[in-house]
Amino acid sequence: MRYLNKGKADTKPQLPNRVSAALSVNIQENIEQLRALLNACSDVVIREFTFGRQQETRCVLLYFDGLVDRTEIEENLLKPMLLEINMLEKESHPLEQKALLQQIQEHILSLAEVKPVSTLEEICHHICSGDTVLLVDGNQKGLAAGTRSWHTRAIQTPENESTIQGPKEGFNETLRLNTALLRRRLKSTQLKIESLLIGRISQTDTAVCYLEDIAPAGLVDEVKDRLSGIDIDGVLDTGYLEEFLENTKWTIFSQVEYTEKPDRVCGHLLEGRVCIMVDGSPMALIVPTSFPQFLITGEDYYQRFVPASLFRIMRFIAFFIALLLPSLYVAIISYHQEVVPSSLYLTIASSREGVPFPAFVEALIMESVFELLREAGLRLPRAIGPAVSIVGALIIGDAAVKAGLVSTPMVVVVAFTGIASFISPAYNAGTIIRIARFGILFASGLLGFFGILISLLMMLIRMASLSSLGQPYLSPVAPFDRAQISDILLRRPWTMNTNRPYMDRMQNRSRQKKASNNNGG
Amino acid sequence: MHRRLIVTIILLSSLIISGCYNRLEVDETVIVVGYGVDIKGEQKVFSAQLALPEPRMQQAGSNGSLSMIVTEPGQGFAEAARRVFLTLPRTPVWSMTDTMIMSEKLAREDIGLVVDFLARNRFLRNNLFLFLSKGTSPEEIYRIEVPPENYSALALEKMIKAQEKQIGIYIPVKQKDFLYKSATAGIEPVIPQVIIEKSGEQKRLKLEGTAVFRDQSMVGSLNEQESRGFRYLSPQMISGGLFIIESPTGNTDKGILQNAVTLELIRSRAQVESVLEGNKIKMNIKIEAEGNFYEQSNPTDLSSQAMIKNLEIAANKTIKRDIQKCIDKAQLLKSDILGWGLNISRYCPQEWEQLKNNWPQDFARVESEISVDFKIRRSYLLEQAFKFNN
Repeated sequence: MRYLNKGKADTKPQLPNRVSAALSVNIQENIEQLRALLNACSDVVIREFTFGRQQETRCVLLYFDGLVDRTEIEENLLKPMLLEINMLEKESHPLEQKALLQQIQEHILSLAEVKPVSTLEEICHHICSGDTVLLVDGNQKGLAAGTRSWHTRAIQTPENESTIQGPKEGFNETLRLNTALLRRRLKSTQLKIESLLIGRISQTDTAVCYLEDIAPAGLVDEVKDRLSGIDIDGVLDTGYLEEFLENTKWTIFSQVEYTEKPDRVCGHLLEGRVCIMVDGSPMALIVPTSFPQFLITGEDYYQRFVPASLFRIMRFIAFFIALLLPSLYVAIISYHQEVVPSSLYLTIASSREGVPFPAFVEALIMESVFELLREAGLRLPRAIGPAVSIVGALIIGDAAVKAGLVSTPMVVVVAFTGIASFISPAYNAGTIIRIARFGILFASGLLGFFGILISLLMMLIRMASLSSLGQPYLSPVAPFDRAQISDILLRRPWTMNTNRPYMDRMQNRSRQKKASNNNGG
Repeated sequence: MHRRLIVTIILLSSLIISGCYNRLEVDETVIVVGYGVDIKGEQKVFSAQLALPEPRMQQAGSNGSLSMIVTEPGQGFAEAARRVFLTLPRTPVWSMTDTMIMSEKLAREDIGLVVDFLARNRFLRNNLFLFLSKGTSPEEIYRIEVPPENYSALALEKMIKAQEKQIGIYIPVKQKDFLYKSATAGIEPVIPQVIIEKSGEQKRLKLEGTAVFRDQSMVGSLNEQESRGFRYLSPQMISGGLFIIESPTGNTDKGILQNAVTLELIRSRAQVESVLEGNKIKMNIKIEAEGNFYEQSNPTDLSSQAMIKNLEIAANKTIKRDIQKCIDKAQLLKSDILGWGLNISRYCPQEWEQLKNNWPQDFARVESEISVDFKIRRSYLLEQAFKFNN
């Protein structure tokens, strides 16, 4: 709530005062003001022309080059204005300057999206967004025509969320295209896409998508409230909004979910969640979310429930491996030798023979090296990436073992942990695991199993205290929801999935008729 | 905010202050795979087989043994075990130990010398396997190499486990069984024996016989047949093992060479019930067993119903004979290894109160009635006897 209170005072972007002024009747004044505003904007096009044969009227056309479809302006705006004006003039009554604008809008412009604008601020916003603005002398209003068109990435398969089964489309950087992908999947007027402007300078179009009557109204209002409370100069990615939506900032646990896949967003919308998208970013942000949700992929719901459930169980196991394996290894070989079978201990002992570091330091070094390689691998130019990963993986790993700096089991443990940490479909969940792993490793190096237990308990307590926009972070595990737990640990067959997951104040929970009617016997 | 920070710092420093308590790096340790207890004069002797880690690189020419044996005398076993540090630079890890060998000498003297060490020491596992070195010392046993195993201690453990499933003579004895039986009235412990068998230059380990204890010391041992009988009488269900019966076809003149029939024991369960009639104590022993037909020495067809009946009768007789031998030996040694006293104390607690004072003597005159019910289930893929083409 404190964000709301802080923001409410001036939610509107603060532009210089002269901008918010209304247009004047005299076009020359308007042009001068606009020229002053657009001074040093080399990409702006200000096209002046006269209109009408009997009474010549000065007009001006404004747009930013590169954001508009030039042929559309030429064919449907400029050409009718210059040529088809004759048709207007043939009519019985002569053209009046005052009604001119309305007549142009009604009779001349052959564009779908045309709306009047009356202030300089509006004009600026429209041309910055790729619309074209037409000003006519003697009118206090102008016309903004929708001519947005810019080069954009094609719809591609998201690189970070690849699937075997199910839709492969991913969002791209254009908000309109992204909302269209949603609308194509949910062909209903119930799908509401509310628009907001965030960012003083960036003026970023932000869409809040939800299904009316399914998403709890209170949740939607809360999201909108928090978003409109944001007063920041620019929003370049949905990631900017995450921290404004979270209740608790001082934690390693991310309380929102990201996805690039429209089908996944639609799945969430159908469960009553709210999706936030930002122009210029392919990442959709979904609230509320809970931690167990991070281990679920959309693909689970496209497969049969048996393999999906097994994969899900595997993912849970891998989660614990990624979180605990290095710490368990350290704890076992430096504190609890008795828990391993003697033959395994002998193998470990013989490979650790002559390694100069204690197991904990060894684990810390290897984990850090792995994180370093991983981060470097991300940033490396495509061309050198593979070369460096080979050097990192093979040469450093192998040479370090051969030189006796690290032991082979540690390399196996680190490699396995690294692979297991990729099993979470959500990238932000992966980072939670990576950070927590180091904390647990420290605790296990200091206190063995006892330390692991303490750190896990601390993590659990922290998680239990969090909530994502009112939804407890550990739900449905804690608070325990028996109806829901079977769709978290396992994947329930669709025929049994009759209800949406419980959310506070949700009106409509029924997804389908009861299973018995659906099965056909 | 300030207070929170201070609390966090205090909490975190309490983690660090304790400072890696009890940490023991792998390369400061050496694993004890087996240990043994012995006495020599007035001294207790403790010996252990240590597993040496293999060198990281397989250096050419380093074909040294992977195991190492340390032996130290001392006034107490714990002290002797710690005297190992005088010669060993590393900390032994006791928790991996699988095998414990007690020397015959110690066993015949008094097991009281060692049971407290076994029961109290927190580093020793309760489920390690116990052996008795007959006619030799534990150190000698550990010195014998048992290829392909690297360590004779592990080899012994594997041998005792495998033989029970395959041939079925001895029952493995774990430390906890031994301690439990030693501490309980009306039952005496046993330990399987291991000997060194010499054939020419070669020495090898062999499991042979079962040591029988009475009143804290070893009084004798069961031979192979008696050990079989002992296994039939064990209170748990047993499974696995082979035994030989004489073919019931009747031509006894040909001898066992022609007449041996091998049966495989699938499972067997013993039920022992004590009956007290006046001064007479009688144990009713009922054995229910199942087995398979495994091998026959001459190709007579034994697959008919009547023949199978006869085979079962012969098997009953063999099992009964083994059991009887075991009982006779136990009564001869006056050692209630069968737990009959415990049985009486459960069924007739009042009578047991009078019996227990003089139990070893009374045990020797307990009568027993054995009934065995052995059933043949399968004969593997060959249904009839093998037929020669003549």
